[in-house]
Amino acid sequence: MLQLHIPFCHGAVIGIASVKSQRVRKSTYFGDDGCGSCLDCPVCGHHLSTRMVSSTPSGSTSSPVPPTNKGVSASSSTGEESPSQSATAKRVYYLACSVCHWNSREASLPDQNVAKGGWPTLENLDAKTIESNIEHYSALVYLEKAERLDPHRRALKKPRSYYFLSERYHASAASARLRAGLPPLSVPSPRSGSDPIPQPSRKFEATDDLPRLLPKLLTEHLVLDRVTGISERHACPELQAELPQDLHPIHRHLSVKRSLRCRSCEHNVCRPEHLAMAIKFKIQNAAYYHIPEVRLGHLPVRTEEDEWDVLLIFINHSKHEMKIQIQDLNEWDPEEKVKEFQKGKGSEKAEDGLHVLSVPLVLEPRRKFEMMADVSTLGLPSGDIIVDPLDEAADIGSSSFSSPLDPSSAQFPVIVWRSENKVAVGLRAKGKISMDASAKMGFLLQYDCLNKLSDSTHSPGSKVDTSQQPVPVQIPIFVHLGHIY
Amino acid sequence: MTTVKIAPGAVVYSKCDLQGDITIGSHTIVHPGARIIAKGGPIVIGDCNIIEERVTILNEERGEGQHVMTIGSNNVFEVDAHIEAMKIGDYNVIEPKAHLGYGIELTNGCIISAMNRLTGKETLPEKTVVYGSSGARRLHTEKFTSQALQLDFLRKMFPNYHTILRPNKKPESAPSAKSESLASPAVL
Repeated sequence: MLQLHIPFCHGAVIGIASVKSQRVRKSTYFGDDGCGSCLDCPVCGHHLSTRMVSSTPSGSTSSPVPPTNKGVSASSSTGEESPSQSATAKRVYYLACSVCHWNSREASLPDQNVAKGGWPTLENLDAKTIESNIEHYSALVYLEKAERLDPHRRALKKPRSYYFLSERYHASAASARLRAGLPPLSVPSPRSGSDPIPQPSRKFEATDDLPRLLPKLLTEHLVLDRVTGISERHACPELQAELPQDLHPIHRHLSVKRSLRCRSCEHNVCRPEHLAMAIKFKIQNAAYYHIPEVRLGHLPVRTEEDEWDVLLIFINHSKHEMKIQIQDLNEWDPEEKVKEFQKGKGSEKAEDGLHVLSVPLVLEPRRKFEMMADVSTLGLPSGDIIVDPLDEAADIGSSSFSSPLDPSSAQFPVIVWRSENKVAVGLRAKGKISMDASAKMGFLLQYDCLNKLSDSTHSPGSKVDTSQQPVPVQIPIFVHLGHIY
Repeated sequence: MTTVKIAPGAVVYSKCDLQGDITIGSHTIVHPGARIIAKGGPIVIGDCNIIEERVTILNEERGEGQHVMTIGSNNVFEVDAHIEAMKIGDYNVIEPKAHLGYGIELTNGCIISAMNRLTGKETLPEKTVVYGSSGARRLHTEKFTSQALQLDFLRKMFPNYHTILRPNKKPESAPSAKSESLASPAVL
């Protein structure tokens, strides 16, 4: 399996190519790279937002109106200033944290004339020394690693480039460095095997000459508001400001997207999609509103020898009433369903694309074997369970939570409670579980699916609108009950 | 016995749960679903406060005679905040679901962020921010800000959608023309 790591920023929602990210990084030597455009609060780590204030040419700024208590940025409300004021006033921007109310003025950062970018970054004086040392030691590490991995070449004593590793193990240089916890090199030029190991400009040396503790630490009263805390210092390890006014915004650390690609067929096995425009995301998002969600209510409760009470919660996310049925897993026969479907397709015209929804899963024999449940279910409800549609306004009104003691709302005894679009169903599982195995319960869930997508395809004059007929769909559900014994 | 004194300009939703001796200052807005319960003594709320939905301001009976709960001006109590603090200054913001216990005293410009719970006996210094899930504290440097825009907006929009209580407290000084017009004619 070929793994690829793509760094990206949550705030800017951009994937940054590895080479580019090397240039983007500014803030830290010890973690991942920083995003060039997003800044985090040095006090609480929350995302900093840009606030706008109008300042008069004399230099005095009007009060920074954090306009409402709702965290709306000032830019939305200061538009209501008087025309005479806006004619002379100049807009300036500063950074503010909506969580801990830190702002860039506390760090004596000058207000900016543009909303994005341009914030001065504090450079570490020893940055070059640290970087050259890191480069030196990382080259040594790679040399050692290459020798260890390929001992028969050791005799050559030839230092290898990163590309040796990347070719051999199919890991890019960036991901190899990432795994080793090292920052990417600022100059990603490949070193040929004969290149010498880069020497640091100044080597680190251990010293016994330590500065003494300042006497004021022992004599003066400590005011916690006037010193920085450990979390604040560790957020920026290379600078470690001691006073709150020395804290600077931190470039947001990048996250890593991991994608997996099959080596033989190049099929994307795992591909993270973060954009809402992506087709894959849209498909998943649309499916979310068509199928009932199944949740495990609480940890299974043992009632008898080899028997557990399991509470499952079914949630209907669609805006239509949904009938669900819980059946035994043995009743599920995908092959028969396929035959049924093909038969039905042959006789009917395929004018409604609806039946596509009722195509059951056809599983390979191996997958089928994996889908064996460890525990069997007892006391399956025989009738339909009706799950109310999602009512978005229900949250505002009083909750229609029905207690388990209310017999009128229960359709039959297995319903433990129901509230809005949720129904909690009590099931009983039976089976023998070994001490260290995780129990898996399986059942067949049948629900009515209403195809709303084909509404527009039917002309109003068509005789029977089959699209409004709910289609029963069966899916096998496996619930991991965890380590129960 | 419930006696509610509402100063001119205040907008109080008519079906709020108001119990006991309550004084609401001018231009204060009390949203639907707010509860102000003065069982252990009167509650005096100052001017230009915003008391949002599901906020509970509680002066509980503690068996030691009557105690007055005073709330200053320009405070914001956001949705589902629970206040038992007997003294609150000006320009404070209590964010949603925050809890202020009986012994807490707020000075001015404090911000208690969402879900934070303060109990015990303590007086918070000016401009204290209590933030994060662990209730970390720091002092902020922002100026005191009033919610003038929000108050104006609510004062105009509120009577269009809700029935409000008629102000019944005579103004201490001669009211300006503006505040008279703001005292909405809508009654129960």
